[in-house]
Amino acid sequence: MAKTKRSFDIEISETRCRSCAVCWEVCAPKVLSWKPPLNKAIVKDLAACTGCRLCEWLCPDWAIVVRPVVLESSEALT
Amino acid sequence: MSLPNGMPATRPAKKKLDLQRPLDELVEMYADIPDKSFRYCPGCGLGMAQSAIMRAFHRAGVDITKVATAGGSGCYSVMGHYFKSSHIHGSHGRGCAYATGLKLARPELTVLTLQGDGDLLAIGGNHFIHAARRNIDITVICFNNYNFGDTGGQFAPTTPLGSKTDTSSLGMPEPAFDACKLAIGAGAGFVARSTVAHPAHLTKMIADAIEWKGFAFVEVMQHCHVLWGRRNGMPEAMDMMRFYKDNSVLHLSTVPEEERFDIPVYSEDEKDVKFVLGVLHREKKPEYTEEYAKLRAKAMAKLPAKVKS
Ligand SMILES: Cc1ncc(C[n+]2csc(CCOP(=O)(O)OP(=O)(O)O)c2C)c(N)n1
Ligand code: SF4
Ligand code: SF4
Ligand code: SF4
Ligand SMILES: [Mg+2]
Repeated sequence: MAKTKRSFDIEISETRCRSCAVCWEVCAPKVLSWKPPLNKAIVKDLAACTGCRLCEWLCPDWAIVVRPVVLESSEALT
Repeated sequence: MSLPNGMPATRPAKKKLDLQRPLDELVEMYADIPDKSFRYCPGCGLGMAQSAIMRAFHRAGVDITKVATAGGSGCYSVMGHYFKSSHIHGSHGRGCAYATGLKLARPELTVLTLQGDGDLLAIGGNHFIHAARRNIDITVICFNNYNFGDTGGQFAPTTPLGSKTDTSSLGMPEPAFDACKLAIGAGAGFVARSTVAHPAHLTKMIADAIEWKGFAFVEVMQHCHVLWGRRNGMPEAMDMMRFYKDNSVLHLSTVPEEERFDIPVYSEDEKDVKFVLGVLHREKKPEYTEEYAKLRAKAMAKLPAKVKS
């Protein structure tokens, strides 16, 4: 069985985000970024996410949810 | 099979920790939050601390309907309303007094206070030291942001020596309390410190405090970049997160006991701040509600039968 890389799903609420910059600054693999003019957080490079959850734990406005993606069994076996 | 002293031969199974639950599921279980942002300023450490407290509820496995919190006035004071627990939003500094009453009346509840540094250590100092002395089974959480945030950033008993606030524009002339040292001196059985920049550690400290039988105290270093940070060269939330990261010591065993407490200095010429994180004190002693129940039983036994019925 080939080893599958764990992948994650990141959901950011634009209504909750208040552009404080904490999430994209703490994200070491630079998954997160911001979008002008309001500089709300966005996902830029999802594949690089390690699932460390720092962004989710530190977002002061609880705008980010990180979920492990559950792969279909057939997909997981390839 | 049981051992001669009546102890079961096998230890109870270790609780399985479920630490990876996504935020939205935790919110569903423990929180009651508005659709839009919180009442704190953008980037405020209070939202981070609140998140850690929610994960600590989950880690400690509490039934949120059996949790009651109490607090007074300050930026932090809305926090109690953001959980599904009951909350007393009372007068400034009286969190420990409300919590003492709650716990005595309903010992089966998990009781926490959510208090600011000004609230707990200035106007509420008296309630704090006596709750600690009694060793009543409550958990006191102090959000130390170095100032009175809600009223515009005046100095508090925690403000670092030399630092600028609304009421110390030339530098704070008074030395600060180390809240943890104060708690230990007053008799607290469990005393821990963490910062909002160490979310996993902070969650564990709060969960351990909740699980502790007796008075537990957690000092949460929580930035107020908007008032204290801006006046002291750290205007962004991330500046203060780095300040916590750079000045924290996570390995307690590397620090001799007498060096675990700190009177911070943060003036233009001198910066000397150290956060020693972890459980700084653990001491089992008789718990107040239990002692009080014994006293009550004794008093009841002495009553004439006519009065008892
Ligand atoms: C009896 C009383 N005195 C004074 C005040 C004014 N007051 C409101 S909040 C506050 C200080 C809050 O500081 P802190 O507890 O550190 O909380 P923060 O706002 O920093 O989170 C004061 C003095 C009050 N509400 N009640
Ligand atoms: S940490 Fe939260 S509020 Fe701050 S920029 Fe990121 S998503 Fe927005
Ligand atoms: S979970 Fe970690 S790696 Fe993934 S986006 Fe958040 S901070 Fe970055
Ligand atoms: S004034 Fe300071 S403590 Fe109060 S909400 Fe704003 S950043 Fe937070
Ligand atoms: Mg304060």
